[in-house]
Amino acid sequence: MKTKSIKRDKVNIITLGCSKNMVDSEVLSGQLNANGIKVMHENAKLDHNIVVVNTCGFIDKAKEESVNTILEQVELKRDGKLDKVYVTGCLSERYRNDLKNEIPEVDAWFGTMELPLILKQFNADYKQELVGERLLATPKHYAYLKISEGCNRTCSFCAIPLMRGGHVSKTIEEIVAEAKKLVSMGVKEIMLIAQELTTAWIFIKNVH
Amino acid sequence: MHYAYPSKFPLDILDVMRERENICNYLDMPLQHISDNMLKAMKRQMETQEIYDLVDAIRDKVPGICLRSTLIAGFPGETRDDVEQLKTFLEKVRLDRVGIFTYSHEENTSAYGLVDNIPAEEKEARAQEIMEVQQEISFEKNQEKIGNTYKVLVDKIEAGRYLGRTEFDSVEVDNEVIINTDDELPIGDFVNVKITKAYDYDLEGEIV
Repeated sequence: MKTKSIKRDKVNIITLGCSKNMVDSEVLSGQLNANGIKVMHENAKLDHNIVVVNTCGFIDKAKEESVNTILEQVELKRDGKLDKVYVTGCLSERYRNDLKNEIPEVDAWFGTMELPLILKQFNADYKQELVGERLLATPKHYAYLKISEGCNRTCSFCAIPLMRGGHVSKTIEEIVAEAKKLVSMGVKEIMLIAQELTTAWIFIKNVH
Repeated sequence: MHYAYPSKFPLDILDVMRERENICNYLDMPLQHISDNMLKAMKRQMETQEIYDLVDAIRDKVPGICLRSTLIAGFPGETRDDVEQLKTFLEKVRLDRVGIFTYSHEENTSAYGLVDNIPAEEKEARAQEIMEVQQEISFEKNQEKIGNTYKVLVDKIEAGRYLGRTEFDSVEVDNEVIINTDDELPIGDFVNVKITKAYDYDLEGEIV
């Protein structure tokens, strides 16, 4: 009896922009991996059939790079080299409605705070217990640790609050747990990052 | 650590940075501009003198700290005097590293209501002019490192040469240290490197 071989999905995540965005990609890949889905960062072998583009929407040049990357992936889909193209991240958060009309070939658009929805697209569940579980995109001796999200400042030039929302700090317990996890994975250097560290430090100090 | 906000910066956290061996003496604090005219228009919640004082206070707390910052050139209404004030600031405070962006006029920010009056070429020219001041400073600061020995994290091997970073250099944005050695170095290990040569944005040295 013939058995029909079923090709297993393999996901490639392409990350644009800053290290905060890279951490988001690492969290997404950690969640997909925990759900039994094969996932890579910037897969050079091109043996994947699904792409997630994690975009940047900060300034003109960054937006252009993100749009071009989406168009390249859409082209690959048109040529039959990809089954699905998904877009997430800051550009998508900021311009989703316009982009949906402009690039209808993209299968789904997600904002910066919609990780559970992305996972749903893969029939995967968001696993709360996996906080801090990431597939690192950096060499294994260093890693980024995001200690807060968003920004409450009102600098007149800055679009970041439009894309990342108001400031939310992680607790010291969460940060320590994540740092310990990274160290146990062999990380020697941790870079503390945030859109705005000062408010995070004030928050942490006030709590302790 | 990327990125701290200057206004309301909690100086006492720097005691921890100074006292703990395992925390890099490194702070990335985007200042964006220095003139009162620009700080006000950018809604930075700080005045010129306060920023000068903050840089002094940070250096008092952590002698030898590496201070990185980013700036914006060509914000609406930026005058020649504003540019000169920024250059003077860089010359006076001699930051360790500076990145500069040209102003990008972003919809739905409060500055979008201003007239983006500086032509793109002029923004680029100003950014270049400001960077040239800093390039000289970065070069001189790197020269001062010749003869010193630093603990270096071995990042990678490229074209047969090992590249690493000191605690004063963050990934991608800062100096790399070219490590001259005949030995095999494990990636992700720390080695002591005596600096023998220094360039604008890189260092070179040998294992001691």
